Amino acid sequence: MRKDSMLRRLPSKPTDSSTKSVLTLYWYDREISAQPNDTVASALLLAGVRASRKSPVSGDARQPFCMMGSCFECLVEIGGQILQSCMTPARDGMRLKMPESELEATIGAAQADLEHT
Amino acid sequence: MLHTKVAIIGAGPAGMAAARTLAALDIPCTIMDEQAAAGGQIYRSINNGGLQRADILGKEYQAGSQWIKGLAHTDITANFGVSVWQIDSDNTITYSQANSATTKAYQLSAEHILLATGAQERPFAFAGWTLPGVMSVGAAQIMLKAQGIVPENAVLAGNGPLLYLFASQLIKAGYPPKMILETWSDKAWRNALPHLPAALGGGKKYLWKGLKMLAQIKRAGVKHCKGIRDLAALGDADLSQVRFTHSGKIQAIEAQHLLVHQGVIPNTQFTRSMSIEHSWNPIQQAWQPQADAWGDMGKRRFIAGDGAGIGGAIAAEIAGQLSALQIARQQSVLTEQQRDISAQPLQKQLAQELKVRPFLDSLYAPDYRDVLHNDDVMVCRCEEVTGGTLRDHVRKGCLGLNQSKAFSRCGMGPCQGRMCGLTAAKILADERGVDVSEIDYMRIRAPIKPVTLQELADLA
Repeated sequence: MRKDSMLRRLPSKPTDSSTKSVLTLYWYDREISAQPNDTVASALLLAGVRASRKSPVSGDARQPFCMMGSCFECLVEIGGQILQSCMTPARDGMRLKMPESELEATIGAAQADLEHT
Repeated sequence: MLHTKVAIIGAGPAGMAAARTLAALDIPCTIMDEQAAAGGQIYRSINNGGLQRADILGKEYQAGSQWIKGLAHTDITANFGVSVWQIDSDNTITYSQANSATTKAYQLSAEHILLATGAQERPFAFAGWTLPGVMSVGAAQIMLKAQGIVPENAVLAGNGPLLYLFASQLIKAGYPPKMILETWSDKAWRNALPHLPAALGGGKKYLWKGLKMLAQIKRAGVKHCKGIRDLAALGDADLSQVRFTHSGKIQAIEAQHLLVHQGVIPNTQFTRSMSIEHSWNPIQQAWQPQADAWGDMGKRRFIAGDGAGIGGAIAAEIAGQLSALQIARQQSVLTEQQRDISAQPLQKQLAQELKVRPFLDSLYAPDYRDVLHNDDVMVCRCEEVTGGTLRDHVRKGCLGLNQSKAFSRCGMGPCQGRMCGLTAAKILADERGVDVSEIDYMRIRAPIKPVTLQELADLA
């Protein structure tokens, strides 16, 4: 991505204690730093992870779209559970990856459908 | 099973105002919200970081503080991080809540339920809207409110007051958008002008605010193209270019963030799942649940705020109070006369507050012309169903969205139609040559949020 077109975190005011501590999340093996007010989705987006999910239909990359729990494009596998990352507060040490089982489940079902027809 | 007198689902302006009115009448209530804190989307994160950015977010945002303070009352139980996924006909509410290690399901029975579930952004389907780099204006504004995150050189596209508001907030934050691409529906001004006198009567402050934001955008030197068509997001792995037609010419600009918006609509997932009748609002171009002036939908179920029809935050606060008064009446805490004494000034305020709506709703009506003319646009993001496929199924006999769903899986993915329902209905109506109000909406069933088998087992 171009350097002049990133997502930026506005500097916090000295009075804001909530942003003092830094959390570390892991997107696969990559370390992502986050603040206590972050959701998993905001932390990933700020870190430049633009494709946190693949469409189970075409496999095309998808990015969180609504950030308020409606679109489900932000689904991420968090510690083994597929969750809406925009609704999940960031916690130190979280292990994150694309929801592969979502993809496998759908492809598995499609194959089962084909075998029955 | 837990029990409460009144369960309020949603802690935005309507829910918070209702809770305060109930508590003032000594009626205990439980207010629940999916978010980690009160405020809804409009006052999002106001108590955990949002006020740090009060200078950017403005006075209207700061006004939310008083409602949050009002929740600190012995008669109000506030429960956050709670995802309600089923409401039964006997007013049993089933929800899930994440604890330290697991997510567990619980049930709560309520004498009255007040839905204050608010709005969502209107689905805005256009070529390439699934590309990473494209998100809604509302989504970007949530990141500004909650996390203080802003996009550099964003392109804003679509229409509605939020487009101007967010552009002006980005300017204040020091990250002005690269460009604003505004769509206009056919005959927008002609449809809006008859409503202007009423808007001037009750909504001068909103019109004035709009003009101020437009002036600010102009002063900041942000390029503002009005009346664009054929919006398209282009790129290989993610967004690199935005293409559009303006004054008859095709133009393309480089962009890494495209933020889109086309107004807001009531979030009807709950009311649909509860089999409540919905009617089409032709001015707001959306379905809304049928309720009386108190928000009463029958059987001790109420709705207040944008979920009942779009009115904005102030109208939602008033509506929440009115619903609370009628609930108090039904619980025999107030006499009819006592209810009316409290309600009358609120009803006057509400009527005044809503005067600007028909003008705004008509002027910023969604423009469906492009999606109706381009069969390749993906309408259902989850199942990747295009408008062309939906039309094909209409020609094969699909008259409503439930049949389309069975034929194409449109609306069957994890979002359960939230992102496609309205666009799909418009396409079906267009192909059939009928008004969209004649299209049967898809059946929404509980659980309205995905749950695990473990959560279901918790309830056994």
